[in-house]
Amino acid sequence: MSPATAPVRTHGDLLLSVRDLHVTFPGHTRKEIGTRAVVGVDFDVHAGEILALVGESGCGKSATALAVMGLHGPDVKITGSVEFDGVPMVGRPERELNRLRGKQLSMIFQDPLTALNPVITVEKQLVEVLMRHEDLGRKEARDRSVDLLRQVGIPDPQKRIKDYPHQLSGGMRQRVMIAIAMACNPHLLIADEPTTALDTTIQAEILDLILELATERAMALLLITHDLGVVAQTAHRVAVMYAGRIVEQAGRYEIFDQPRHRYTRGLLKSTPTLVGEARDRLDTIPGSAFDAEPWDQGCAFAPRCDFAIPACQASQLDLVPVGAGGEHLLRCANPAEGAEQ
Amino acid sequence: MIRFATKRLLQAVPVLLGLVVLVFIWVRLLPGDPARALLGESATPAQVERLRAAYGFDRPILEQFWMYLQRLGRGDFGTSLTTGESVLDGFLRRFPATIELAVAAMIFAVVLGIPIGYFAARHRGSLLDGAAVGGSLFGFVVPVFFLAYILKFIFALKLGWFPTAGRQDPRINATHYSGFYIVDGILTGEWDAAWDAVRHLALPAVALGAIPLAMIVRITRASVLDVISEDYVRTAKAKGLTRRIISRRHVLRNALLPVATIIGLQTGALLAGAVLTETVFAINGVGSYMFNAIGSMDYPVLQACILFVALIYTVINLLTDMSYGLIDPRARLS
Repeated sequence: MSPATAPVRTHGDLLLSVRDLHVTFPGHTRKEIGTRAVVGVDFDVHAGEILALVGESGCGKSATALAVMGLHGPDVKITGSVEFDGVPMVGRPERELNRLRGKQLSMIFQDPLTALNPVITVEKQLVEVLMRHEDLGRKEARDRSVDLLRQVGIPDPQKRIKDYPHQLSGGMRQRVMIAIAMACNPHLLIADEPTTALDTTIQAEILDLILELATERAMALLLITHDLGVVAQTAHRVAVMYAGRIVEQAGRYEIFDQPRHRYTRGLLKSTPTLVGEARDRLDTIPGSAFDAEPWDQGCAFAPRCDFAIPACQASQLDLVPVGAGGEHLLRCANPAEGAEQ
Repeated sequence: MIRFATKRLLQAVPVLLGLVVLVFIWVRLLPGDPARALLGESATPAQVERLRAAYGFDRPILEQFWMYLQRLGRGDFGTSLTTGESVLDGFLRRFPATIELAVAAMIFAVVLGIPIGYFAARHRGSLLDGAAVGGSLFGFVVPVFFLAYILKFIFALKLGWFPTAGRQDPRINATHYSGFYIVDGILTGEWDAAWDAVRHLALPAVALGAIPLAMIVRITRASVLDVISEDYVRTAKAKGLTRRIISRRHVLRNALLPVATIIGLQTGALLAGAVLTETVFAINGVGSYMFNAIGSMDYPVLQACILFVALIYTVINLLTDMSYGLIDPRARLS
């Protein structure tokens, strides 16, 4: 780790440290190289901190999260280091990971319908995680489960706990997922697009619930989203990913007020706002992220960037601090200056 | 659950009634004259006529059908044209042998098939997986009667590990109540009799269970492969559950739905296979009863046997549907 990439401590102790993480999915044939989903990602999460990992579909956000949890299949190649609470996670045997997962770090997924087992009751799905990690009998675990359901705002939890996932609404299902993830008071919660699959009307409720519970329990949150509106409400720090790499990372206000990377600016411009002048159309970023080549040299965004200069293609670009304080990190050869127009 | 079962049972009634009609028509469409078949080539036309009149074959077909329905209503399936014995009695005497055989074959297929399919999926691409997939192909392509002969030749005739035919050694002189020899042996405490019945049943059950075994291995394997990539299995891993709990609670149970369907369908199909297996191993069951009835154009026996097979199919379908409800709560409520 170069001193330049060392993030500034904003919260409690360092909880999660990811360095030079690479995730490569296998190719269809043995000779094919495969898809490089994550190409050298570094970030830290401190105790009690909320870090948002932002980017469009396919930029490697979820692949990063699954690598942190150790949930990739055996044929997915993972290199680099992931340290959770000082304990290396990459290459750790499943049995040891199983002791941490669900207890010290847990995860909420995008679609609560498919993420819950359709053939067993909510009760069983909650009780099993409590009985696995906490020294509880079945009855105590059940009482705790009812409590948890109450805490995540499920009305009549005594009754609902007997339901199967299909008997609950989408929002309720995600509340159950949250209850499961929070059951053992983890230090880190990873939420992978937790509101994307839900109705717009309940997205805010669910997000508020996650934030409330995380704050209440001083839990760190790694929030993965493509929704900048979500980020604006929640994150302490924001890391913007493009084509498998972090291109810009800064405090929430920095990112929204003074984005330096052209891609971050593009993302912000393409987000509808309710304040300011009404625009006929949203701005778009020309081209598609699917065209992006891995970052062996230069900037993967350069082909889509209006401000690309020869240096963008030529050199190895590192994530380096810009401005005062060293908290704003940027990977760009021709960054934007000043506030967003 | 009870309401669901009752509803399904009521739905089965018109199906069975339709079958009674179809079976009656089919049997009479078969080529050949039963009276002639009974009396042999040398019978005179007058003799044939007399026999036809005695059995009612000379009446109009509708009248025959009406008489047949009335008799069915009284539980009278007629008498066998070849033996003169009541079809119902003949049938009931043979029925336990076939059920015992079918159940044993299915137990063999399920008890082996589900674990093999499961482990093949869990160790996809391994030697075990290859053996399971290859072996199940073998199960599909080898005809039942051929497999039955091979098994009998190797394990009964050459190696002498199992008896060659029948259901029980007559020298044992076992007590029989239900006609299910294994059950009888256990109930009466005649363990040697029960064990002897098991040994007699082993080869026929393996022969008959080969196809269902192959199907169950294939379907379980495919289904487990589907389920292990499901999101809820990933959730289970994210909860830190042990591999054992994940396998049992989250993978296997979900994977068993399509397997239950196959078990149901195959159990019905077993009855067809039983005809051949019973013939090879000289088991006096419904299969060989049916086989002989076809050869001698024994209409009443044929009709009863076909109705029996249809009834079994209907009951098994009902049980399969009910098993969905047990495995998948979504099927229960809709």
